[in-house]
Amino acid sequence: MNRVSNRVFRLIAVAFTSLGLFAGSAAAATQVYVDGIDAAFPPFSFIDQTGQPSGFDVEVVQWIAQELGFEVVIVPVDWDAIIPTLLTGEIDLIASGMSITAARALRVSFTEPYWSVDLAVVVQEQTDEDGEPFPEFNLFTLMQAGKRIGVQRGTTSQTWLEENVVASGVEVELVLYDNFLLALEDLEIGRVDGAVMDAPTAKLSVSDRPLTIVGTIATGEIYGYAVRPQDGNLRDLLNEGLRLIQATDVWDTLVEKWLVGT
Amino acid sequence: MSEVARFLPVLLRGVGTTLLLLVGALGTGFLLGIPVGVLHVFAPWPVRVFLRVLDLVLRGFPAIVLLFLFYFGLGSIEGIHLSSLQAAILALGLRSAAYQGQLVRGAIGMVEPGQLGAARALGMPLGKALRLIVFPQAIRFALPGLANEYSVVLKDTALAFTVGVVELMSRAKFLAASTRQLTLVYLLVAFIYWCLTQAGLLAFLTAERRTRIPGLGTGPRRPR
Repeated sequence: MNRVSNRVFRLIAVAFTSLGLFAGSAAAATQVYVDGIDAAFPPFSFIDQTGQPSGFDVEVVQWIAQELGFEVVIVPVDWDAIIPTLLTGEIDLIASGMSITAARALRVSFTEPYWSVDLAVVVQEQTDEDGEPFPEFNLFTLMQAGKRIGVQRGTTSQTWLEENVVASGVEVELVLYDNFLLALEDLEIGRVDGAVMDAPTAKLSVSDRPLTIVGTIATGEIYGYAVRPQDGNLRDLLNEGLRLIQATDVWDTLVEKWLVGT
Repeated sequence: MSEVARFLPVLLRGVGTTLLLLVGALGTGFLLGIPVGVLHVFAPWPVRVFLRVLDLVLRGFPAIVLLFLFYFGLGSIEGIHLSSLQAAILALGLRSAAYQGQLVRGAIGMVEPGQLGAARALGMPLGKALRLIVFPQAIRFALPGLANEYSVVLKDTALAFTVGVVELMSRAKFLAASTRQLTLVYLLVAFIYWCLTQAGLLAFLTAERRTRIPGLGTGPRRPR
């Protein structure tokens, strides 16, 4: 090796060493993870009226972060784009009432499940001559050819309807929305005949509207937090955090605060 | 009314990011748009063809498609890391550069061609002639179009949340979701966009008046 290339080699070696040192000192500081949420998915994740992230999943992740000594930054992400956003590295985890499905598990790695939900079917509530409320449709009159059913795009509600109703030859028309609240809004106006969404969200949202839940579809889907497949460490950390919080009263308090009655 | 007082501050928090997107995109568009416009007119044909192809992409795709391409497409390339904000500014900025390039091209065309010929005949180099003779007139011709571009880009920033930039429109979405007062929230957000548009257009109009040269340009002329 001649002297010039030797010098270059040494320079590169020094550069790498200093990079290594830098990385080492960065790792010693508190690890920061970015948590992406669907900001229109109460009671699990939403932005409250003061502009702060709030909800069951938000509080659980914040508790885990504090307990296990990492920092968490919560950012709202469009639900449509939430998995690609995770995969490009802009966010590190998704803690936002995400159902664990086989299709999603091909792209992301899920924690152990922490909650289980069914799907709820919502229709308009009408009143008869005596002022008694009654639902406009029941499950059977709703799931018929020509009926329009609103769902949030990219959700298990959409997949369930496609695989179980549309695929079996019943020509209901699925109307897809950015978020489930827009579906409910359209249902109230009368542009769709019914809407399907996760049961806790449905129960929370129909209480102060002329809407009613006519039935649930017992899909028994389970929620988990999602990370990139190669981020096994973070998944283990979240699993440990979930185990810890579920062993404390904090879990019961949060469940009571956000999810009881839903 | 109490709700307006409660909602407005939350929405106004998104205005900063919206303005950042706007200034970033318009600024990028302006800095690149001027050389692009000049090259559209004066560059040798291979450069012009290249610009034309780029132009077809940037003006031919919907803004939302460009946002996705820059954020997810560029973002998935190893070694490139673009934050949502950077990707959005880049996408909207390059798109605006294409539109502003066309504005500049048109404005250069409006300057009497004999002027450039005369300047060259007096021995001015092309660069100097463009800078001292053509450009000061062309930028005046371009001002009404630039004002229009401002108001269009301002509204395009409302798409940036699709790649995760939390700006004014997304603040409205969140607020509508948590309060379920869709009509009121979107009326308020419309009002804020209207104010921003008017403020900007007024600034451009003032610039137009201040820089007007009697007898030149597109300013209002009274019949004699």
